[in-house]
Amino acid sequence: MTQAEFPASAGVDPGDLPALLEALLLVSPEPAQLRDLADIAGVPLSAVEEALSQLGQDPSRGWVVIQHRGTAHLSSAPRFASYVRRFLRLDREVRLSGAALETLALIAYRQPVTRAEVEALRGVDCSRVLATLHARELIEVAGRLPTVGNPNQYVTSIEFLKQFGLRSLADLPSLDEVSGGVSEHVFEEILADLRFGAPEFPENDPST
Amino acid sequence: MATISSAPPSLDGYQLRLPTFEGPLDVLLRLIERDQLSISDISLLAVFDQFIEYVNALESSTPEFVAEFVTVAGRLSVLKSRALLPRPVKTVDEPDEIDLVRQLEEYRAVKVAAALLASRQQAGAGAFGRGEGIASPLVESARFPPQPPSALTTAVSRWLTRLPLKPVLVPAFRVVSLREMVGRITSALTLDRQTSFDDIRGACAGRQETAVAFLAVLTLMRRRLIDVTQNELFGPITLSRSRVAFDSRSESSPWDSPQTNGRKQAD
Repeated sequence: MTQAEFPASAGVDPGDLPALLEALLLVSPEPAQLRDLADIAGVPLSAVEEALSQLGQDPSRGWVVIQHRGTAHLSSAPRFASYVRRFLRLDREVRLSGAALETLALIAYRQPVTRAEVEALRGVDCSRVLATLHARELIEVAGRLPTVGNPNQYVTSIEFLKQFGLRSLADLPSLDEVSGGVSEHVFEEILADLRFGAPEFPENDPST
Repeated sequence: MATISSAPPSLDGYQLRLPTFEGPLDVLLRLIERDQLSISDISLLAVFDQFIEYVNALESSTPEFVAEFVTVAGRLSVLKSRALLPRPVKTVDEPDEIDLVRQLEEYRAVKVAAALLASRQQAGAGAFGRGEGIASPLVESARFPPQPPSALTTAVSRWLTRLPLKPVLVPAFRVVSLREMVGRITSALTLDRQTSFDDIRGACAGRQETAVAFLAVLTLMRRRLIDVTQNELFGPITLSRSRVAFDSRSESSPWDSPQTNGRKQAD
């Protein structure tokens, strides 16, 4: 989508912004870039983000807006999943193994992470599990860590959000609530240990 | 080591079947939780022997698999040695190794997170965008659109047209029918009062036709249309008109009404 050929549109009436976004998302076959939406609406990005969060609040709707790394996607509401599945004849649900769920959970809560970090935390080899998750499009490579070997950094995908019925990563239940106060800092400390001695590279692509 | 290797990997009745558990940290965590200990250096030391015993029992597993356990066992050993021996003064440059206790705590958090995801998966949560299900490769491979039976014949004929058309020559022998052979014998007997089977056989092409000729003779004999004589075993067979048949109905074929004919003769 290139909006460059079109003259910048006049800013939409702020009260109409949620409805406009609804219209744009409706016709978008793929996740739409929030920046594109802001350009089209002639409003700042923050206004789009705010309007989208408003859109997601209405429980009477059969759809939700899923947000993932600067994109938004209109999807069916997770509570209707069983109906939608039957309607689309998606009768085969793919169940993940325990190892795959552990790895996926680790990536979901601590992204972005490298394979080495996943393996250090799980204490086992994870290459095959990562390949499976990747093949199922549940995770994706967000970039490379500017350290020795430039390892891939994995993050969860929009497919992950959809499969688990989450509107965004903020929807992930807090671990503290469930696990009785396992410190979330622990993880960051361990990651910091793992990254010990990583040289400070500039952010740009190593072009290799 | 060898003494335990035959025993299945079990932890005092706490069964950890190999396919289901997720590595050395999982085993450590379960040992600690089984004893209802909190995760700490002390509890790690408490389960040290059991863990080592478990690792020893893994002898039959793949080296890669065992290696992961040996790594953790090594770290446990360091922990134990520190507890037993006075600690040396730490050099400043040495980076702090990842604390096993902290890692276990984190691992438990991951397990909790995995359980959360599993419960969502179990509940069948899911959001679907437009076009999904139609473009999904899963659906395409799982279901074929219904096809009418004619689709199969169409497919076969399309396949046939692509075959090289080479005429196949099959040697075909003309098989003489019994009726025909009966006619041949009766006409021979119309000309002459009698004939020999050898003459009939001489006119036959091949064994099959000869067999039909013999059958025809037997048939005519049974119907008493001909008389057959053979003076000696394997001697020449002479066929002659029977008086009954050829006197009354010399011109018509005796085959035309075999049933009535036969019955008439039987009387």
